[in-house]
Amino acid sequence: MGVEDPDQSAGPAAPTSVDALVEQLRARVEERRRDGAYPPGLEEDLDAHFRHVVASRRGVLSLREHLEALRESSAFAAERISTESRARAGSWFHRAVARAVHRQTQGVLEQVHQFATAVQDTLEAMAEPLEGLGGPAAGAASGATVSQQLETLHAVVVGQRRELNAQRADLLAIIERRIRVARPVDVEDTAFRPWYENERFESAFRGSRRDLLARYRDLAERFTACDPVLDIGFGRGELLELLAELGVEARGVESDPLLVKAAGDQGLDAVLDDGNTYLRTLDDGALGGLALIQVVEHLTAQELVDLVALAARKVRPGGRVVMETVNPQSLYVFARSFYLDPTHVRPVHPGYLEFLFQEAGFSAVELDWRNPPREREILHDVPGDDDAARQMNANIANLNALLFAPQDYAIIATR
Amino acid sequence: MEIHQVIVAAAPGDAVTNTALEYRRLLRRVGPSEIYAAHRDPSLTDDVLPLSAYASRASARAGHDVLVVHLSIGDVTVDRFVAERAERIVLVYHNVTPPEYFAPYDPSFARLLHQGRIALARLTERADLAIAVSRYNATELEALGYREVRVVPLVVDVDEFRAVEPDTLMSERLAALDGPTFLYVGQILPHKRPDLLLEAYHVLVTTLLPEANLVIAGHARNAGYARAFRGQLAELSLPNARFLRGVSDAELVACFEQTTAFVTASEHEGVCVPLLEAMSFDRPVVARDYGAIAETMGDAGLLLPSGSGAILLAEALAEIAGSAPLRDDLVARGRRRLAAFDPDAARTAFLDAMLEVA
Repeated sequence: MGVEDPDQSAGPAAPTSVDALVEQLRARVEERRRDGAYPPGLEEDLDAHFRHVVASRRGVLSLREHLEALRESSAFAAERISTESRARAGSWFHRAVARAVHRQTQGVLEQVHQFATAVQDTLEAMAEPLEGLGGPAAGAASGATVSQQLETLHAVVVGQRRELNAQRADLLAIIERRIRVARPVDVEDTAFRPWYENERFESAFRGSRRDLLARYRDLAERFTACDPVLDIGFGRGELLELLAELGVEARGVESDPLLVKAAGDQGLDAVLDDGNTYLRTLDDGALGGLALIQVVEHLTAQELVDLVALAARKVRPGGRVVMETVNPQSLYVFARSFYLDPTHVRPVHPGYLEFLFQEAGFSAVELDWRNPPREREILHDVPGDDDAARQMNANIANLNALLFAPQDYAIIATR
Repeated sequence: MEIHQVIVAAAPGDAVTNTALEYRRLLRRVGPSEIYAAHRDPSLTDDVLPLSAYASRASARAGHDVLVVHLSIGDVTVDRFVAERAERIVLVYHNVTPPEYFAPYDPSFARLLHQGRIALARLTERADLAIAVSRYNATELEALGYREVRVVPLVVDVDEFRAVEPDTLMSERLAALDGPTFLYVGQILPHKRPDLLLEAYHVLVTTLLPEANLVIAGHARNAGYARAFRGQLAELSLPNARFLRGVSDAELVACFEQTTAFVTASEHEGVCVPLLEAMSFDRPVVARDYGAIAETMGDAGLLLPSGSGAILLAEALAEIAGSAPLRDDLVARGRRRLAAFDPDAARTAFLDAMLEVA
């Protein structure tokens, strides 16, 4: 922190007045301008950049778009009520309460939904003749009238949307009150906070940087033309590095401040945040690709389903999600690697992950078996061609499949 | 005599709602007093009554009772309601953001602000007394022709905020950052100019202090502007800038505690309470001279002239980070400045103003 940093405690004495200081700062700006530290037109360029961002993201909404936005905002569902909590067992508790009041929740949702549908139908009926009038053939005078009518209608839409939001807030308040009544007291945070640095752990057990760059090159290539890519839990940033080499625009999210800093020092675009939280901040369809390398085994079952649902929303059609994780179909994994990492929660079965992506509406889901155990570790055939040898070798093949299946698998899902 | 208050929208954490709740506590010492609102957040339905209930609940005696009308935005229902009342009217003016700031992002909202300006002009003849929450607001009212204008500072109780325990996780996250950290607390709205703040921070980290961090904590209440702001944040590629939405008081306290200085690039403020909150946490403040900012800040902050651009703002931040004597000086001034915002004095000033009408 700067306030406590002894390096910064020294410095010039405070000037006698703020006015004098402002003059000093102005003189310094001029000096730096002369030295070329501030290129000519820098502020104008920054302002122009913001104006460009505003223009590119504005898009004047048509009446039809307003109606679509209204329809979208009225997708009422109990699933959209967050059950996340930082408190110990908080998420479990919220989910339990949500289950307990499910019947009431559904009742209210149904009423809200009926109301919303009636509002939408009314507005649709009003919009059709208005849209017919508002075409380019309409004269200037009638154009002005139509424009006023559209404004009035827009005000109605905004008012109704506010009403719907208020009802949704009412519903949340009911549930919140239920939760408040029964919330257990004295919850404590049990987040795992090791005294060692995660980077040291990664260096000790994840393999050398060169090995990992070689190992993930093919996965990085899966993101060609999938800009922008978000890499959740980027660790030491090997995939981000590979993507940069391929010219794919990418950003990483990581919850460990030291790893974020290390990535930043390498010139990688890295953000300190929780993956699901960060994903929620993005506009729908904002991503071309989403990567999670050795991450999903750190998630709870609920976090995983939430993640896949979020991925389906945030990745645009044609975009790609790549998840690599340990393969629980290989018993070797449990003896050698899975329990080495104390933050692993549970391995994720490839069949289940494939099912999740299919259910979430991804158009193609592919499994890629990776990282087989070394040749010298697996069981080898016995020589000979007699019945006993053949039987033995068939058994060995079965055992190899069970014990020494590839240690990891990647799922490559196309939205 | 009964004194009731009218506000457009009641929402938790909203400055106008908080002021009305504070005034109601005071007014109930002298008689019945309620708050009526055209729109109410569900969490406040027990505390604030709907405007439609006024006629049946309040005694509504013309020329005898008093209606305190808070104004910060236009609303057809409230305008019509006030126009139809015969009670004496006291206006509390929180300032109305100039609509042109919102026109490119949200024309409907700009229209509501425009309506607010019209309502303000219309009340000139109707109000028996006008209360301005800052001298800056009072000047606007006088220019509109209001005759009886009193400046009554907002009741800002920083001690209450300071008493909140900081959020441990947020404290740890911010404490782990290298380099100085600058904090902006406020809504992500066009007139607050967080876009200019990002530009200044971009200049700061590319030219002066690469290790500097920026924390922006506030609600993004306008979708159009928020979209542009997020786009700017992403495109300028500022990995050490963090945008925190929906922070709790505990998280906010952690932010104030762990920051080097508070900074705002705002171009319109009726008061700017976060400046005072930052001072209460012994944090230096940097701002530009717009609206009531100079008045709120006094001599206790680094006040840049209006129109200062991203470069001067960045230089000011670098200066603060690099000069401990400057920080100490501003912090000491901040402590003295807070004394001028004694909440009890503000309460007394409000009651004095009400006594004039009663």
